[in-house]
Amino acid sequence: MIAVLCEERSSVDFLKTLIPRMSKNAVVKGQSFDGVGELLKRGASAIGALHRIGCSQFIVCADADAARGDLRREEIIQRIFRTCCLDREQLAKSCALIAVQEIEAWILANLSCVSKIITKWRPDDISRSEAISEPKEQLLRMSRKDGHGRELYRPPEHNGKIGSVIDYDKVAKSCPSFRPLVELVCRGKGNILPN
Amino acid sequence: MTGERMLHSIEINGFRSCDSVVLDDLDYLVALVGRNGAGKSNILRAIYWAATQASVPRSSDARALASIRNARVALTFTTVNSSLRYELAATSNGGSPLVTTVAERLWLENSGSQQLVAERSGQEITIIEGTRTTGVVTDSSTPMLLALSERESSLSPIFSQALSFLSSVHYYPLNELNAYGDSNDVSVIPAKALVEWLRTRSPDRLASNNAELRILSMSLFDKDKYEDFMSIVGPDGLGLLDSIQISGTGTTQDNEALLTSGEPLNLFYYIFYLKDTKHFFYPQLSYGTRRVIDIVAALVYDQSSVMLIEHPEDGIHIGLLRKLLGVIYSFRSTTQVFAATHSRTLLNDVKFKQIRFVSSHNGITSAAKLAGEKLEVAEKYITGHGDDSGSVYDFIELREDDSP
Repeated sequence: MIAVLCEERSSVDFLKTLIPRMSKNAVVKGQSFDGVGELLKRGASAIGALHRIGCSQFIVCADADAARGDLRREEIIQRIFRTCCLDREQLAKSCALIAVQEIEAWILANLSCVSKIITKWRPDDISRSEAISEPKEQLLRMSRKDGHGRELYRPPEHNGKIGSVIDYDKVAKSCPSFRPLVELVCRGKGNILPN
Repeated sequence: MTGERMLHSIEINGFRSCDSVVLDDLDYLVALVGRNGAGKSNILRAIYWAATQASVPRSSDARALASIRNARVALTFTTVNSSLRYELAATSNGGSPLVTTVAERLWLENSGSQQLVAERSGQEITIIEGTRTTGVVTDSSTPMLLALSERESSLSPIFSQALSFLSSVHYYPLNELNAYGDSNDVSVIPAKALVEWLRTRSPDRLASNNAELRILSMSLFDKDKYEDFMSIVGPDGLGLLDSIQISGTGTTQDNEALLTSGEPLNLFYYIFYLKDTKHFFYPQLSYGTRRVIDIVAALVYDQSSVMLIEHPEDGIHIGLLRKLLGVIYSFRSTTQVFAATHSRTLLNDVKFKQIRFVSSHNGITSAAKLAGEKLEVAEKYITGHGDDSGSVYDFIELREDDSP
């Protein structure tokens, strides 16, 4: 059973629908927190609690936001993975997944897939989406532009659905920050080095 | 609650979205959790509907019956020294004119076995005392227990206890715990309004939007309750208020005469709420403060056997909410509380056995408790050490996450 811990519910929803597509029969438990502060504060205890109910692989997903991704990753590792109850073997099957800016950068990389969710919207994929400074805002802006008469993109409602249709190979090719997820879920390789 | 005056199980069939809903093994606090629209309020309404139909003449509640087609609600409860099961079934023809037939039954429970002691079909009631049966005819608007409590029989104490318990089941919807006259900044309570409220009070009236009338009534007619109320909301309790000042203007008379006078009363009351040397009228208090005052006034004044309350956390700061929960717990020997809630604070303060998970599938409500392996998993989730403990609320989120 794979546990995903995210800052926001919409990110949990995205990964909960995506991961079972990447690894057949994967059972995913998801827990969200109110922002990265809460995630850092309560993440270690949440991993302990999820471990006790049978989760064996752990993904902590956070947005780098304006911070440097490697610093946010280190923060996640030190404050969550180094203080939680997992042993070396379990840590080796865990992953700190840090989106450059926000996870919406991954959605932008295969934005054309949203046509399957919002049928009247036909956007193109965006190359180098991780270079966009505010991907969620960009996505919302694009959704509003010429959006008269059609459904607008709303992260809480749509991210889970997008996880069920997005082309994850394409996203992995375009977004280096997404690759640790593929490595863990498809190949069983985590990115947390034991102490 | 020590086994006295509380609901132990509830069965609901055909009431709004509730079909085959069973809640058993109930504690003094029952937290109903579930997504919006799952049917939490319908469960509360079903309990209230059955209790009201059992204890209030039906002509006053015609609307409640009008929306019912084929509903059955059974409540198993203990009173002072009896374990009872009351069942109400209403069948409507759905046509015009609308005709609703009500059937009621009451069982006495004794070490696992049930003994039917009274049943009603239409206007005919049968009392069953051992092998002896007695027929009673009453009008269809009078509930069975009300009709029987006025008759002499060996079962009279049982009927009275059942009636007393069920007539004290009160429902507090979210929008009804508000102040009398709260559209104005200054609240003035005419004595006529108070007298009218006291004269016509019924379970409905008690549960409706009358916090200030409750406070005024306690201060005039029941000093003990008023002191209890003030000790809870005052400086030594929740610290919401320093004191309350009540003044009357116009024709003065002694308090008891208020209730007996048949004349129009030219008397008005003002209630001032003092905090930090400032005077406030009730509508000037913050929403959260009013909300807590409402709940405490209802707890103290109404003395409900069962309090059915929607979202007690609404508008209340988490620190104050924790204190309020302490107050609610302190009433557990007299008042059982059913709360529909989404509150992290409240849920982290209860035990898994007090939670019922309410969900809806294809518009049909179901309610589940954690038992067996599921309960073990839940207990494992929260059983950590220090910072390694999971919270009840987080487990609920995980569990709801698994639901379709």
